[in-house]
Amino acid sequence: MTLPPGGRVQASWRHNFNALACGLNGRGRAGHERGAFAGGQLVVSGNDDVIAMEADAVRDSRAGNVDVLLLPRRPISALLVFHGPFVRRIRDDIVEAIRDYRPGRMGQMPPTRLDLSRLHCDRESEVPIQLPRRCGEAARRVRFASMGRPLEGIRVVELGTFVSAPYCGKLFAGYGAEVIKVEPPGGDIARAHGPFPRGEPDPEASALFLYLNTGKKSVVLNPREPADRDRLLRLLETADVLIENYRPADLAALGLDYATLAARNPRLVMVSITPFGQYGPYANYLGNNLIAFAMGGQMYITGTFEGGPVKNGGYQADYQGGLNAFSAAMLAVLTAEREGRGQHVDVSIQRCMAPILEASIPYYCYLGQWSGIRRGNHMASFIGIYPCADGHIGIHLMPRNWKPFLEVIGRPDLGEDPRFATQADRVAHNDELMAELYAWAATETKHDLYRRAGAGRAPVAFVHTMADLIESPQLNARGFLQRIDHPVAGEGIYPGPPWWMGPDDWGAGRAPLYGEHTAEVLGRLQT
Amino acid sequence: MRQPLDGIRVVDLTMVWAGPMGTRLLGDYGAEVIKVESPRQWDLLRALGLIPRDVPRWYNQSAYFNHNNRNKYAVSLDLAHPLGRETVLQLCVVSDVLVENYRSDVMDNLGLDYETVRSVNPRLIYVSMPGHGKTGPEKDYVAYGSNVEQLAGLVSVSGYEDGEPMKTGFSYGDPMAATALVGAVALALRKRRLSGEGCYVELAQRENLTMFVGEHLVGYSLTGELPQPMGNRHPHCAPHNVYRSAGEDRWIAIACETDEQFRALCAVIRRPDLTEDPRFATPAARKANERELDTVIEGWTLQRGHHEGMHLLQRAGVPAGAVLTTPELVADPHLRSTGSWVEHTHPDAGTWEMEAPPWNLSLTPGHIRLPAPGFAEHNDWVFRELLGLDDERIAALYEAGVAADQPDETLHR
Repeated sequence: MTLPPGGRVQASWRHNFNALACGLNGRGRAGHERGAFAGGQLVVSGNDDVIAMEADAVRDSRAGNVDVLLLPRRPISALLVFHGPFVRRIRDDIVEAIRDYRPGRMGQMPPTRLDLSRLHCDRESEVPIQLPRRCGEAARRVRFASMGRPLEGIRVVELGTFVSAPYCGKLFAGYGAEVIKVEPPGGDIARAHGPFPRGEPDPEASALFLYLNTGKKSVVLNPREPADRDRLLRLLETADVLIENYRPADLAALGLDYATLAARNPRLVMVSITPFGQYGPYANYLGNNLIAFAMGGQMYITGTFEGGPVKNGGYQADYQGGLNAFSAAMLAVLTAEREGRGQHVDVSIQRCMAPILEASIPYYCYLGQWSGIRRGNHMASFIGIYPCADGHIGIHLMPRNWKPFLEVIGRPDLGEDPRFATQADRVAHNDELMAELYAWAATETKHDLYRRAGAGRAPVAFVHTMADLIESPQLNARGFLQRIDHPVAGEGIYPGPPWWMGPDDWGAGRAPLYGEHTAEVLGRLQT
Repeated sequence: MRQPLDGIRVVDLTMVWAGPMGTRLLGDYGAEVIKVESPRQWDLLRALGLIPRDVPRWYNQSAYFNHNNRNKYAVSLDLAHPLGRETVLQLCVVSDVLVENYRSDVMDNLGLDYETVRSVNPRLIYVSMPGHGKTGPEKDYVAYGSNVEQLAGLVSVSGYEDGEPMKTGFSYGDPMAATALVGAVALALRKRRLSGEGCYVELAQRENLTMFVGEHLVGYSLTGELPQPMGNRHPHCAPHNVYRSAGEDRWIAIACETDEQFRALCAVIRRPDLTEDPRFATPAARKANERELDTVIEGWTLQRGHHEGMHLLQRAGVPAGAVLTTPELVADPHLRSTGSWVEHTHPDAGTWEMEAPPWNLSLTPGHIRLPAPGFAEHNDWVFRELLGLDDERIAALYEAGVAADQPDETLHR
């Protein structure tokens, strides 16, 4: 039900029933003691004959109306109690627990994740609460309680531009850390990148910046100015993690090398993401996404032989750096929290990229075998991309997929063809099979084929465009696409989380305006 | 200093690439990883080593397997048998993390779903790494390596300028899921310390990789314009491309982002006149005339090797990099001097070089302390030491075929 500002609901209740009241949105108070609750929080009532919920008189502009969901049940089972230390049986305990929460402590539970049609308030009949059995499905819908996001209490300073360090920082912010992005005068260069709504360049509306900086705070400081450098050093004394992607020599020239920072804050985890790492002959070579992609070995094997090496779309070397850095940084965070000591985490994008060329490194290092030919869109006729009537489809057929695949495409005759009887035969007659598959694929439409192949358990997918992603039944059913509003750029669709750990564990707010939090963050330093 | 994951025991039910590489990274940084393979469903990578089948214990000599499974122990258990299921649940009781990468319904059908495992050990962190996720209308669709990047939207923005969408050169989604696994497990360990409980982690490979094209998705939602493949080009900067070098199929990447870098480039290739040329004098002009500029640059790069070109340009302050082949990566002086390749000895496979742990953590650098396990190599240790099974019970496992010392070789002949 939705409560207007100041509104109150008081429902008489069977005393031997418990109630779960779930605040979906807004802020209000619950019970006789009027304990505060907020959207995403759970109120549990024990032995009582009245359930009272009221909305705050002043509506929170951000949260909107107060929506609550009431669920009656027979005495709460031990299984539910198991879900969180604040879930109690006795009313007084509940009131105390409510008083104890800090607002926001329990995180967010977006109403879209709840199947409201299955949960309704009926005072007389018992509505069983389905607790997760198979966690995959059920836990997405019903896991009422959590302890806040996994990185709550961690403060991160991001002294990074463009893609690699910002992606690492974005993951920290999404999983609950406070991420303070220090931008140089003029701002992160990603602000100038675009694409921009209506094609009009605007530093507050670059899609690259908006995506990579969700949920962060922006502080503008010029580390070349002594006063600002001093502020930055004091800010770093309060930080758990520093993420940076300067060239090592440039950072040292600013007097922000690890030794200097560690002397002032021994607990600091400093994460450096660079194309070549912190030492070695190329450490101070200039690099960017294209150079790292070349030096990491992934470019040589991508594209066609004639067309020459080509990078993958977007900034894949930088993203790899950012993701590797996040995982490495988390290991150092665990260590720092256990040992009380930080350390320097050195992530070389080249070193992360080089060993993961499928089996190429193992085969070359162990057997001395190497065939580096670029194969374009086909590893073989049965692993590759083909144009179809309205786009492109991709097949990846292992030997056991051959029969199901032929069923799906309605060509059992190919299964009878001796040229294609075994995988070895299919390799031997690669070009003939490819010709058959080109002819077949041209007759297919991507959505229809994908659904048929899914039902027939054949590994066939289609090349999803951005429009296909936004319309994807799968991604939408899973709540992977979130609408996030921004005061300048407007509402956009953002993917996330990269992995799911609980309904409240990921939260992506909008990207900050240039210097939006300078006063707040620096003001806090002075006190 | 103790390694970051010291004292964390991982039950590894994964096979092939994404899962095993991920749990190997956990092992590189201190976790005790126990790989569980069924005598009848053992890891395919053991069979992809190009080792002749008449070599004794050929399945222990696959480098593809041995690179991705070092720092692990191995036990054989058939999870489809009630005794195997029971034994793996016993292992879960004394472990911290379970990782699986089966299709979304397999663990449920084995009776090893999260709720079951949680009921024996509520502190356990249970990680699933399915292609599509455990929910949604496509959850049971089959997706292998190259499908994941198609589903993630990456292929639609990859490829030559004005060309067809292009696949990556390898199953890119797999190592990215492996890399993400470490971050996810570390987050879950911190969460467990705060809450006292384990949790369920679902790492859907297509979603993890979709994060890598997020700006295109946000951009499309704001502009309504579908992004197109751009080859090696940059939307604003030029020159930004790959150029032929002397030698057979050798290439060099050059990517200038500032006027200063462009001036330096012109000086190195002895064409200072270009900086005054109105076609190339400003960033916008260079972008507009990038094809002409490429022709001039390639005239210079073709005359020298890709390493030589790189060093000449880098010393002058121009971002440039040789497009390295696999043999060049292994020989690369920079990677070698930073210890990226290390010699390694394995009792069945011999001595060769493999990649070091990828991240250099100054206090806890990671290390290789165990070669990849042979099939079922640590059955005895797991059954007796970890689980305290008696002789009778162990004999029953072998008798039922749930455990074995050799794999069923007919599976991957």
